[in-house]
Amino acid sequence: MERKTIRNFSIIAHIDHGKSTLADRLLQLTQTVSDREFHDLMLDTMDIEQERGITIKSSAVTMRYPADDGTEYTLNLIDTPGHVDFSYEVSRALACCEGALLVVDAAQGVEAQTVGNLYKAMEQDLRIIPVVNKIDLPSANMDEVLLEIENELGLDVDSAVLISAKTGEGVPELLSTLVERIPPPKGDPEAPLRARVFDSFFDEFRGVVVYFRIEDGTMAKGQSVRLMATGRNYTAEEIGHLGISRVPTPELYAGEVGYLISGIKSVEDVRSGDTITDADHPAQQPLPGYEEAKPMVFSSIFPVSTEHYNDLVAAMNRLKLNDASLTFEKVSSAGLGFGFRCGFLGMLHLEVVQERLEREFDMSLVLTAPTVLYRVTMTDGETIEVDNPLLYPDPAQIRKSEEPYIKASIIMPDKYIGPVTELLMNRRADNYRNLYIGTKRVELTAELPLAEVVYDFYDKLKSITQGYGSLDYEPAGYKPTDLVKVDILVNKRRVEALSMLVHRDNAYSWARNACKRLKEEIPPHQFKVPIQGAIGGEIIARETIRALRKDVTAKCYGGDVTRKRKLLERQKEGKKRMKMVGQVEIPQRAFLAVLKHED
Amino acid sequence: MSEQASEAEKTEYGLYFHFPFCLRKCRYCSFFSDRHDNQAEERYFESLLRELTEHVPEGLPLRTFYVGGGTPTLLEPSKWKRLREVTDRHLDTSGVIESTIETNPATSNELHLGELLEAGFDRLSVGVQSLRDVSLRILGRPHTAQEAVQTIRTGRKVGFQRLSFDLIYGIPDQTLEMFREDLQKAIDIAPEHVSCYELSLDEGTEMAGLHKVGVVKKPDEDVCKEMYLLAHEMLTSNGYLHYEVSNYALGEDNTSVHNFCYWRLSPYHGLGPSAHSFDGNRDRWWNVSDNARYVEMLKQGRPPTEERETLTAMQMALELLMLGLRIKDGVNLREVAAKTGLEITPQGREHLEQLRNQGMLTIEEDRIRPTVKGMLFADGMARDLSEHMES
Repeated sequence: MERKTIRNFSIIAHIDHGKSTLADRLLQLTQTVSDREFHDLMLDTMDIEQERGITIKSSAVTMRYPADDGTEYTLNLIDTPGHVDFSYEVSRALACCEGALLVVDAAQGVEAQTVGNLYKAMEQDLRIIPVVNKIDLPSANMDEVLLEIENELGLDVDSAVLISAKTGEGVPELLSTLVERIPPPKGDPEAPLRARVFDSFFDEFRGVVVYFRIEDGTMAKGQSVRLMATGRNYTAEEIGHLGISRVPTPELYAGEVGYLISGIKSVEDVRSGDTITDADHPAQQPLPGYEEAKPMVFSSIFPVSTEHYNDLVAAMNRLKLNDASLTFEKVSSAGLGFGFRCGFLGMLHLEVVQERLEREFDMSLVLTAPTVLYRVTMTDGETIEVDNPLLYPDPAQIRKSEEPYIKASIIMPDKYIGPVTELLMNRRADNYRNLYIGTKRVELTAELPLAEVVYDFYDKLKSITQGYGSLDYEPAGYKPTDLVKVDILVNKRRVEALSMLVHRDNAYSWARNACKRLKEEIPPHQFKVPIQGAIGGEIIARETIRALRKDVTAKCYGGDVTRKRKLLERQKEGKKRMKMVGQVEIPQRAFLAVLKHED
Repeated sequence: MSEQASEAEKTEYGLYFHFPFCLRKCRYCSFFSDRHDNQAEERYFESLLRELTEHVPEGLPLRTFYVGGGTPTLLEPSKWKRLREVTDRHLDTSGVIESTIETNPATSNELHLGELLEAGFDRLSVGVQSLRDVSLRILGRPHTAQEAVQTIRTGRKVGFQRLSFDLIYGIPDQTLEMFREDLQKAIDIAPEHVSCYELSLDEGTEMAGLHKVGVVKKPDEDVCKEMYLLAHEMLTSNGYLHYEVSNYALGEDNTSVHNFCYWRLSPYHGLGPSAHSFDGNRDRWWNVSDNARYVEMLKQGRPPTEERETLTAMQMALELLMLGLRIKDGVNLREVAAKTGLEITPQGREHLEQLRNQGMLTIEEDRIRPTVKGMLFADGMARDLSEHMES
């Protein structure tokens, strides 16, 4: 294939701005899928992705586009994840492209994550084509949006394409603009092989399938290849192009995007950003930009019923095959039995893992309160990292505690500046700044403790701004903090899963909120159940669940025993999702409810 | 009732007839009924006879006969008499020791009740519900307290030896004091049997809807529990036996034999729309809750069954516990094991000890009996104990 007919591109868009719809439209227009095969949101293949309307994993698809000039172009669309938890994957995917479509909703304007991802694309010298989508909406304001793109993003709007992905209007023009403006790939076909991995997933039958883009050289079926991060060699059993299904081919050349199947057992062995080279004639240097994804949020996962630990082990190992950013190690707890201490990229990642374990593996789980990675300097000068409240040292032994910060960027209509500023201040924001970007929109930047952001900050921001606020962030180092460990006692017993490290200023409100939430979630028992929040031996919050007055159907005649029995059977079923702490049954959902707090 | 008697019950059936019409629906009622209509009633009655003669095994031995509803006294007593005659011909009624008919005050007079007695009914269950007019209006009952008392008196006058009296507590706006007055009036009338149950807000009823939107409000749970305890205290100190969560009788002889079929998992056959049946072993089935379909299915010669189920051992054990823990005689775990093959585990024994220590039940060898307090937790105890049953 001639390199000059190849276009590798990505679509940068905010959630709901129509990325998936546009991708679908491109697939249909290029006849990559027939209408019969067509399925909305083609590229988002996990249930959870479809339900939440977000892309979690990268993906890619090759399309053939016969242009008006008679040339058939090969378009490789490399999809990027749409959530801030997975921004590392975005960089890897963008590194495989020469250009990007920047999709902005004609009614909503530019959003923070779009800006964040645009900067990543610009850092990699990608050619950007601004695309204004949803021009069919009555509320579309093209002029204002184009002005924003020009002023805020500094992009030339003369080349902007106006489309409606929904109706298809403007999409053919977009395709011709794409092949015109995005340059073909460069790279030396004669140099030793260097291919950049941007995704991999586990296939039931074939093992790991690696997605990559060749920067230099050629890859051939049967070739001996090496993954440079691990130094391991494999034989390329099958290589090929990515249609909607895989299309095997004997050779792939510099500039092409393709897949590799080579008997790799787990995605852990193939990290995004790694370089594939020829094992016999290896490249001198791997491609730049590879780094290990670092977990940001930690939580322990336990089966509700301790006898299901072995099922959990099996499920975690299965998940790991397909999720390289999930890290875990075995832990045991007096109250919760055996489980895993896990590291996640963020809360969304945590929720996705939890949902997959529950849905795909039918597990009933208890997750401990998520925490960030604290740095604690002991009086003897030793510095330790604490990712588990239960391992927090005796305060008398601590000289200094530090917590991770992030630099957050929030873009929103200016009318929300008051409540969002208040939210930021409640979350201990530092170095707060605001900047008008357009006539009615503003960007706030601030440094925030990661711990204040991970739980529900994004949900809160969305609700305060009625969905118009958007968030992007990047790590911003460690700062000193004043931590206390808050324990929650249910019926005088400490619930290990609910122990939490919090800033001293937040301890009381956290404890009060946790007690209140638990009171709402724990059903009444035959005895009164006190719920307390405590720092060490000091009780700082308290609620009481009244004893159950009765648990019987008043009237039981007429012979319909079935209905009453079924009611009890349903209650028994519900109990399987409850964790016994002493004599008290705590519903599984109570553990997550505690994390939702009010500002 | 002795254990020998309960053995004998296994072969004798309780027979139930459901009369699916009312003048108007009470706000809290979740039993199946339609608005009364003469033609529909006619079709129903013909179908009922058909169900009895074509779909109940001939010669089935009966122990009890019970007519409920709905408002069965809307039907001519002569028709009930005919039904009894057909039953006598088709089934074995020689062992029948109790024949009950439910009546609503304001639907029956002296002549009427006399005819029912003559038709062979010996027990009259009167839906009094409350002796306070405001409460009756809130419940949507079509009669006054005075009429209810009058119906009881008339029943006594025409010669009913066994009268039962339904009383509801936990009615919106009802105070403990008001309920005390209701109870006192009931005691003064001295019926042989009192069914005294808390108002339940069944899904789909008008009362549940009104409660959900806040138009009416039930008394607090604490008050309802006090009402339960007050009923227990006042009725037992006046000679009544508290023999089931919501049922009291003047001595063992006056307990409801028919209702024991349900609580002891003895066999019963239900006829009429929505009626439930149990074969005394593992099979339950029930009729369609639709008058037109009921008539149509019988016309086509089909049994009017909506659905059937065969209980698993665990479901059987759950039912034995759930129902057994409602009655003062409780449940015998050896019998549960004999019927289901499921035994209580050692852990379950510990759980029973805990319940005993909490004053919920007494344990005498294999028999567990709920206390007055324990009866209020029958469902919860059954649910938890069934978790400790293993084969």
